[in-house]
Amino acid sequence: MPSKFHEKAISRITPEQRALMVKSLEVISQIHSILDRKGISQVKLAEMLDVSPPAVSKMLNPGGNLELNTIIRLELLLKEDILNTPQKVAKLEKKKQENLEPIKNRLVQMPFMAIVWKAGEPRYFLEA
Amino acid sequence: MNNFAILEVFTEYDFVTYYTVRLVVNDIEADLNETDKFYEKCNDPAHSHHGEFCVIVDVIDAMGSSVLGAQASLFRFEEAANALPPPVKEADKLLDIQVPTDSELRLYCMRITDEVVILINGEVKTENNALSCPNVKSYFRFAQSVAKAVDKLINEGSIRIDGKRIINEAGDEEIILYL
Repeated sequence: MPSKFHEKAISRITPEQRALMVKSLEVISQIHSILDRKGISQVKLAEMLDVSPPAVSKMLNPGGNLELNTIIRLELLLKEDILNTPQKVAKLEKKKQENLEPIKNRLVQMPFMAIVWKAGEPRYFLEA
Repeated sequence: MNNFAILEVFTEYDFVTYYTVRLVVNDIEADLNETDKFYEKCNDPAHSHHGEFCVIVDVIDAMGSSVLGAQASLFRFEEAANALPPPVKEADKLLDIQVPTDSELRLYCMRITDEVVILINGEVKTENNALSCPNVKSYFRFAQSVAKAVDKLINEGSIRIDGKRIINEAGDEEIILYL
């Protein structure tokens, strides 16, 4: 049974406000995650975009209204997707499965196989 | 004579379950759980910190509605426990929510995973150190007791986190905290 006090408190949040908060949280978090993984600071990103660091800071603040053309520019610079539509995700997943199919078939055809795998080393498939 | 707290679901979102605690003193259950008490006193436009309360509610709502859930960076660290609102820098970075730089209202809580958070209670903090503040001192201490009791149960295997739920050894959700 959800708290009635909480239900009352969130009743002022419109679906649009909630959707904006959530989308904003996810997009900005995605950008920060890519920057962290690639070791790119906001200062470095400013250089890459040829803008000032405060401009990047403003851009990566959801209140700064990150526009679609900016997201695409970031995707091209960072060489990674930031926004993916469900259609694209489904197609990528299908393609991945298709690429895995020949490998799966090859493994099934092997009459006997041992797998040797030590942590930190490449995997070896040895036919007996 | 028994004094303890019962862990109960406060509200459940798609990506986060928020729990709270209800005190049982001398075998009598409190009418309101701890987080309802916080909401009851703060969700009043006449409250001095109503705006800050709305920010905390916005953050709870946004985390619960996002696939990212309750990210650690969105919580303040308060020894064994946590608190909301998020540190200003993190809120600016991730949320479309402006947390006032001089935010004084605190809701003490315990973030266990991205999917499970225990909300407790809080007050307006007027001193830098929670233990020096007459308003929040008791809430801060209570949050520490709850967090330590939960940690102890997890460590001894009496409770475990199963996705968005906290369950006991029997697999149900009846969990009592001896504080």
